[in-house]
Amino acid sequence: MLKVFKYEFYNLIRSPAIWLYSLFLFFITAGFTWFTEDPSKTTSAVLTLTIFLMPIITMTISIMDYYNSREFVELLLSYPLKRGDVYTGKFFAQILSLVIAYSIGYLVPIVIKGWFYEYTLSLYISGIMLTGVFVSLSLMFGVLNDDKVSGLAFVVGFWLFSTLGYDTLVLGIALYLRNYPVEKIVIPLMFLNPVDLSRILVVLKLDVAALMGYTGALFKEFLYSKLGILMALASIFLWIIIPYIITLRIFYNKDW
Amino acid sequence: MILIVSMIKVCDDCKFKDLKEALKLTNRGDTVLVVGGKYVLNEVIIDKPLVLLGKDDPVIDGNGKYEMLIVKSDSVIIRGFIFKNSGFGFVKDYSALRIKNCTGCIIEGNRFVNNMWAMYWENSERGIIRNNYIDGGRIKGAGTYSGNGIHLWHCKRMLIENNEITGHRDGIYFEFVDSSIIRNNRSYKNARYGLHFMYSNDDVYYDNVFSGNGAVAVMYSKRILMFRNTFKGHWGGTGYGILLKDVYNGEIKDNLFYKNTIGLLFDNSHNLKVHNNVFLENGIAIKLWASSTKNKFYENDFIGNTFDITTNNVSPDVVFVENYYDTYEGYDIDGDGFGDVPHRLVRVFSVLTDMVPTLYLFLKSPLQDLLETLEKAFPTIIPSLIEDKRPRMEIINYGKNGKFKQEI
Repeated sequence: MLKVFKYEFYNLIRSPAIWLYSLFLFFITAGFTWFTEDPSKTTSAVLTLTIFLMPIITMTISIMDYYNSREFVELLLSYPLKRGDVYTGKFFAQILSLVIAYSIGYLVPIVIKGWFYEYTLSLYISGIMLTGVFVSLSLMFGVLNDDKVSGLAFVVGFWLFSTLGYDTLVLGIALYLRNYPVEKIVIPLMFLNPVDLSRILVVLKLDVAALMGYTGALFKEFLYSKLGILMALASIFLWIIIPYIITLRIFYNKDW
Repeated sequence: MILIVSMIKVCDDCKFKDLKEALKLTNRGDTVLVVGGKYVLNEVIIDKPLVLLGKDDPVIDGNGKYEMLIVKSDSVIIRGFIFKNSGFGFVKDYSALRIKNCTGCIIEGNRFVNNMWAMYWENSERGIIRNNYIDGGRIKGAGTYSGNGIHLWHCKRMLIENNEITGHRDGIYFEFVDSSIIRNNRSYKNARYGLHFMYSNDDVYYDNVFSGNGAVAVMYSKRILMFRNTFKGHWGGTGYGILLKDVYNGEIKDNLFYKNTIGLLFDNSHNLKVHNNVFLENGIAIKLWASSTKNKFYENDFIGNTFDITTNNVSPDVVFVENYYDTYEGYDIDGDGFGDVPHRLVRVFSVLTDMVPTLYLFLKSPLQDLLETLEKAFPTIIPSLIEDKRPRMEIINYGKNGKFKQEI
């Protein structure tokens, strides 16, 4: 597994897509740090872009890498290797290289500025969590669809759903049930979507959190309690592990 | 009648070593000069016009148990003392200095440190409170364990200027105080309000700086004039620049509202003119409840606020006109300095959050941006009556002649 991982990792880290992604993040973050001297504003602006664009970029890179290396994967599978190792190696290689790209792109401007605040840090952690979730998901979409186009369709579909569709649904529910204590439904629902969860994780650390008033206070109290942290971690972990297991099973049983 | 005015000196090596004894022996109009030393007083009463002068920082101490000095006469002047450690309690309101039924008292250049109430004025007229430094010393829990810095009850024609107040419950508190002036004060980090009006009419406050308090609250008052003040950093779940509740016929002009959760809250307040103010980087610049009517907002600058105006509904006689909004996206073809397209003041997201506050959880989400974009294309949700028909194209007040820049 380690060998597959190493090979895949070296392969990925040399691919221009990863570096373009890193450069893109770098220019966004550096741009905002350059134009606004206020670290909280920068974080807030980078957050909006990260939350919206990171899923689609990560998933596209991940799934395209999978499709491009399909023949190589098939070749590897003809050797006496465990199928699971091939997949797991690829999985971790992708996550690691994307996290490195993200770290360089985001952290370098922050470190240069010396902006070590709770919110810059939570944005970093949120980004890593999202990378894990979306790599796991896009590999699942890739293994599920042999056809590139339908694989990408899944990626785009899921991206739109997790960033916009899901929120719209929750918004609808909240408006429909607005005469009831609706935060009891909305807060758990926010835990279920990794994009929402990681966004709120950062927003609660920002100044604007004061605007959230009662709900924000409730959410904060819950999120930063032991149970809340456990649930947030569990939610992210499940989003990574469930697609991973599904993919593993398909990978084993697939007729290449 | 022969008036003999004498000066009595109190100090460690003087004939009078005890301030209390000295006060007993004074006649009307005497001057008592206190040089240095520490004097523990327990409800010592001044019942004749006197001048109390402190030199070399004499300390009047309450030992954490007593109310120290009570003035029950007209024309008393107290200058240059340090009032320290009054009693604290829930049954009695301990005040370092209590002034009752006094006309023309002057309290100036004193320091009040670590008292429950610093100054408590009752039934007084034409008093002056000037150049005092007041520190309650109780930031944490001051809401319940502390009293107010300058507390006025049933007073008239008072002047409060150049004071610095911090660490109390309310910095300056007015209850039934009419025709008074508050100017050039700095009130910061008080637990509840920097300045608090209750049932007070015809007052004016200007050139004050309020920062990091809960708010400045103006309640149940009429004809209050507020100008050239700075309200900044009132942040948190209940942070307001000015909180207006049942206020009639006031005027708010030339103020700066900077980084408050809510800059200006209108709750059942009527007939106010709000103009030439700058609302800079607040969470919500103006929150307007439907119960407020006949208010007019003009020539204000709205810059960098998360939301300019939020409301549950707007009374049709509320007018917004000729303000500057940095979010305005219209154009000015005829070049008269005013946008040709009306500016919609309330954004769809703030309408939704007003219906269901829980939706603030979608702050900074892509959905929020999507809703705003959709709303611009298909204006349906926002009640269209809240609009500025003549929005300014350029900033009116902020930064003109260096205005407001230095306060930030």
